[in-house]
Formats: sequence, C-alpha cells, structure tokens
Amino acid sequence: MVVAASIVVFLLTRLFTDPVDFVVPLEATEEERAAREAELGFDRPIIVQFGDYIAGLARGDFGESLWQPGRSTIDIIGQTLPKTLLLVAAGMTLAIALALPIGMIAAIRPGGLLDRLLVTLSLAGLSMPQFFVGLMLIIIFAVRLDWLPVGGYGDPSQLVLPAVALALPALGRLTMVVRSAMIDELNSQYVKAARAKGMARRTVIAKHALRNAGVQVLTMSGWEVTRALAGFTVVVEKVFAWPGFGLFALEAIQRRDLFLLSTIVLVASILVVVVNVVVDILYKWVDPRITLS
Amino acid sequence: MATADRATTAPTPDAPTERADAGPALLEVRDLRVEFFTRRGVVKAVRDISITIERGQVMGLVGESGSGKSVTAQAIMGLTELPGRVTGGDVRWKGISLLRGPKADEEMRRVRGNEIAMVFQDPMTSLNPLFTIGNQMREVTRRHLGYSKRQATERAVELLDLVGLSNPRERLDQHPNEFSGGMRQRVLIAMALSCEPELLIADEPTTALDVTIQAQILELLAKLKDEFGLSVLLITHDLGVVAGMCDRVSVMYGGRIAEVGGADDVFADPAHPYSRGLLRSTPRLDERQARLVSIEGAPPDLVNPPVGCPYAPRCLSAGDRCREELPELLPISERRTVACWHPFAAG
Ligand SMILES: Nc1ncnc2c1ncn2[C@@H]1O[C@H](COP(=O)(O)OP(=O)(O)OP(=O)(O)O)[C@@H](O)[C@H]1O
Ligand SMILES: [Mg+2]
Repeated sequence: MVVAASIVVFLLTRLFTDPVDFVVPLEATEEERAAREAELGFDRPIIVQFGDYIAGLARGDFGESLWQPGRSTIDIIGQTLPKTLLLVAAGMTLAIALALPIGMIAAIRPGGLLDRLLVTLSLAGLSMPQFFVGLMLIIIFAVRLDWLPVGGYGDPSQLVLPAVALALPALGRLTMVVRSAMIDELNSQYVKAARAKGMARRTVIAKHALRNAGVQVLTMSGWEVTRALAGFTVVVEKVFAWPGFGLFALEAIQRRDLFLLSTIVLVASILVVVVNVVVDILYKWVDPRITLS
Repeated sequence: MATADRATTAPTPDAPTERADAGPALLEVRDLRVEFFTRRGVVKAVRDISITIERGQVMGLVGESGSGKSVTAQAIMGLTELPGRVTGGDVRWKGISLLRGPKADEEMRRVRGNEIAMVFQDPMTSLNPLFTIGNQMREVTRRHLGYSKRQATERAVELLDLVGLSNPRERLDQHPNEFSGGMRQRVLIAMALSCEPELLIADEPTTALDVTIQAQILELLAKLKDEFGLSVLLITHDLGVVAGMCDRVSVMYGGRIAEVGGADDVFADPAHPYSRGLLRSTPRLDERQARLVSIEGAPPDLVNPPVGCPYAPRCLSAGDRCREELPELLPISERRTVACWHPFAAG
C-alpha cells in the first residue's frame, strides 16, 4: 500500500502538472526556465526521475523542499508530525474514552429516556461538519467565555479546543457503534446464560458484553484514527492554526511543493499501515479466535 | 380428594403453603403472571400458573411452541427481560419469596446460579466465545462460594470429569469454539452443577443436539439426578423424554397449565383434551402408527386470549361453557389436577 501510494502521487504530480511553473518567476525567460528545469531534473524521462526518486528513498534521502529550499522534506515532517500525533492522540483518546461509557449506558435501556437523549446528542455530534464544530468552540470558549486560547501551539491549554473539535464528531460516531454493538451483545444468549449463573448484571455488561462488542468498536476506532491521520486533522489544524502535518500538507499543495507533498503522502500511508497493524494485534487480544495472517 | 394438590391450586396469599407432613415445598410458583408490553399490545404469555416441585422430584413441563414454558422458567430465575414483566403471583424458594418483600432481591441473587441452576436449549450460543471454558466455569464458584482461583480451578476440573469430558485440565484453557455441541452442553451442565444446586431448570437441553448426543445428555442428567438427589424442572417438547425421566408432568397450553399429574398417569390416561392431542401427535416407539396426527388449528392469540378455555377453539368436545368460562385447575383424583370442564372427553 505504501508503495502504491508513493507511485500514484509521483505520477500524478509529475505527469499532470508542470512543477516548474510554480518555482520560476512569471517574467522568467525560456532559458531561465529550462535551466531551472534541468537543475531540478524535471527534463529527464519520467521513468528515470522515478528511478532516481526510489533510489533516493532507499538511501534515506527524501528530497529537498521546493518551498523552503535547503530543507530536507523529512526534516519538515519530523518537526510537524509529532504535533499532529499529539493532537490525534488527545482527540481520539478523548473520543474513545467517552464513547465507551456513554454507549454502554445508552445500551442498558434501549429506547429509554436516557438512551434517546444520548442518541440525539450523538447524532448531533456526528452530523456537524468539523470546521463548524471548531468555529463554534472558538466562539463559545475562546471569544465569549474567554477560557481558552483561540489557537496556536505551545501551551497545553492550546491543545484543549482542537482536541475537543477533533473528538466530537468521532465521539458521536463511536458512541453509536458502541451502543448498537452492546445492544446486540446484551440480547445474546450467552449474556442470558451468564445471568442465570448468578453473575451480577454489572459484571455481565462490563466483562462479557463489552469484550464481545470490542471487535466492532475496535474496527471503528481504528478507522477513526486512520481517518484523522490520513488528513482529516487538516480542517482542525487550519481552524486552530495548529502547525501540524495537515497544515503543512495544505501549504505543500498550495505551493506545488512536489517533494514535500510526496513525502507527506508517503509518511501518511506508513502511518495508516502502522495503525492497521496495531488494530490487528488488538483484535487478536480481544478475540482469541482470530488468527493473524 | 387430594389435599396436597388442592393446596397448590388454592393458595393462601400471605403464608407459604404448608404440608401436613413436611415443610414448604422446594419451589412453589403461585399464580404467576408474565406479560410482554409490546407495540402489538400486551402479550399475556403466562397467565396465573402454579407449579410445585418437591425435593428430589423431576417435573416435566411440556406444551407446544409458544405456550410459555421458557417465559415461566426465566421468571423463576428472575430473568424476565424487558418488555416483559412479572405482573402477578409469586415464586417461593423453600418458603421464601424470590419476587416480593424487602429481602427478595438479595435472596434471588444468592439463590440464582447457586441453589437453582439453569441449562439452556442452545449450547452453541450459551457460552461466551471470547473467554476460556475455565474462566467461565470459575466465575460461578468464585462468586457464590468465594473460591480462590486455584480452588475454583480444581472444582472445574472435578466437574468436567463428572460430566464425562476427557483431559479436563487441558480443556479449561480452551475456548468454546474448540468444543462440539454435545461437549458444550456437558460443559454447561457442569457449570450449572458448580455449587451443588438443589434445583436444575433444564430448558429443552437436548433440542439443538443430534439424536445420539441427545440420548447421552439425557443419560447424564438422569445419572446426576440420582447421584445428587437433584430436583429438576425439565422443559421439553418431547413426551418420550418426559416418560423416561419425569416423576410428574405439567402440560401447558396458551400460557396456562392444562393438566398436572404423575407422568405415568398422564401418559396412561390423559385427562385434558390437549394432553390427549399432544400425546396423539407424538410418534411412539411401542405403537405402530399409520400417520402422525397433529392437532388441528392454531395456538391462541396471547394478546386477546379467549374468555373461556384457551383450547376450546381446537377442542373437539368443547361446549358453550368451555367458550364462555375459564376452567380452573382443579383436582380430579389423588395428585392429579386438570383445567377442563369435561375431563377425559375426546380431544
Ligand atoms: N421478548 C418477548 N417479547 C414479546 N413477546 C414475547 C417475548 N418473549 C416471549 N414472548 C411471548 O411469550 C410466548 C411464550 O414464549 P416462550 O418462549 O415461553 O414459549 P415456549 O413455550 O418456550 O416455546 P418453545 O417451545 O418454542 O421454546 C410467545 O408466544 C411470545 O408471544
Ligand atoms: Mg422455549
């Protein structure tokens, strides 16, 4: 998958755009342009360029940024990625940690007053666009109440709003998943049998049903983390001026920094693969019947 | 007239029924009523039924699908699930109510899985697929008897051995998917016996198994019953099983008890037309039968049950009284009660 992603990005950026357009001044002459093209190696056949790129990767050379000449692209990522990982970790931990108890509580009496309230809130959460959530949080907590900073990076207090903004729609989705998985499990025969053994309702919910619901919850949690890493933090980072990976991806696109963009996509796809491997390992831990391939 | 049976049908509401010769019965279900509040209306699944089980007795509970057998069993265990609710009657265990009074909840928690155990119809789904057999077995003794993990493990090994599983110690670390249906049912029976219960409720314990395994499981139940003096409430469709194992039998129809009596008596001479019909529709090994007779008609609508006898619309000898007046369960002889206006008439 990582290989496929890097090939696709490479071809798209090299075949369908002329990157030199963006790095030479508008008034540049044809000769200046050709010289720059030769300097960057864009005049060679595409296959040679690609071979060169791959050889570079093998050496650990990810290329130099066009936008910030002299800086290696991997260096820029090294600086921005940890910030995004922090944001994603905070947001997703919040979403998962809240979705589990809320979904469980809703599932205990499906159709009850509490359940309907929680479902309504979840639906509201999951149907709001990410930028809207972010802007509302800024208006309420930063502007009106003046409790937290509007954005930026550095102080822990600046993490709160973007993390919450990232978490809320995911929380809505995950709560619905936890709820429906728990309702399924609580209606199952083994739950009835465990109750007949005399196990307390609380034990049955927290031990038996939760673990069985875990497989579904894990799938969706993995999907949420992947989604966040693969670009959905961009909106939040933009709204809160969080100088992460996503924000730089946006810059790279705007400035046609092909080398930076390629590296970003490459790293993002590696992250997605890593998340999937972790989820697979967790599957095995939750459900011993699953054999890792 | 039999005084003992009279007592079960006309209980005094405030005191447990006392026998002349002994204390209160082991289990006494009195005028139990369970209703399901559904969108379709109130499903009156169990209407005022009474069942008494004495120590060491095996009581069969038979009746066609939907007659309320499982609902009754779950109500006894206090496991009636929403939208169902117990709306009347009482369940007394050794004279103490499990449903009413300030101590009932605590008593139910103490008794369930401990003194009263239950085995279900479907062994494939009654075990949690994600936990080992050992984990699920230890749960019971750790909760009720306060065993340490080691004690619980030893007990589990002993029990698996008792129900005839080989290599019990290794089995404990296996997951349910490594067991066949018959083996799982053995595990579930072993689990039910963990705390040496006095009553085992078995809800169609063999229905989901194939015939040879069925026989083995029934044999096991019979052996355990003899060995431990276990009382059993055996729910089944299979009258052959009742004949082979039960001392007494209660026949259920449309959420009510149609007839109660000694298993042999009921088989030899069923008093309720429904019992007759049921018996006729069962293939018997000792009789050559030209064809299987099934009872004409459909079971009653439980949302709007008929005012009279629930079986009247299908009964061949039903009269006006049957359609207008609900027959009470009344004794007709020593230890035999029937809810019918014209017992022993053709069904
Ligand atoms: N959860 C429920 N919601 C609504 N009605 C229910 C529910 N559970 C049971 N019932 C009603 O109770 C009636 C009796 O069901 P029960 O499961 O006790 O039948 P049964 O005698 O055990 O039948 P079977 O032999 O098929 O197991 C059913 O006809 C059904 O209408
Ligand atoms: Mg049933």
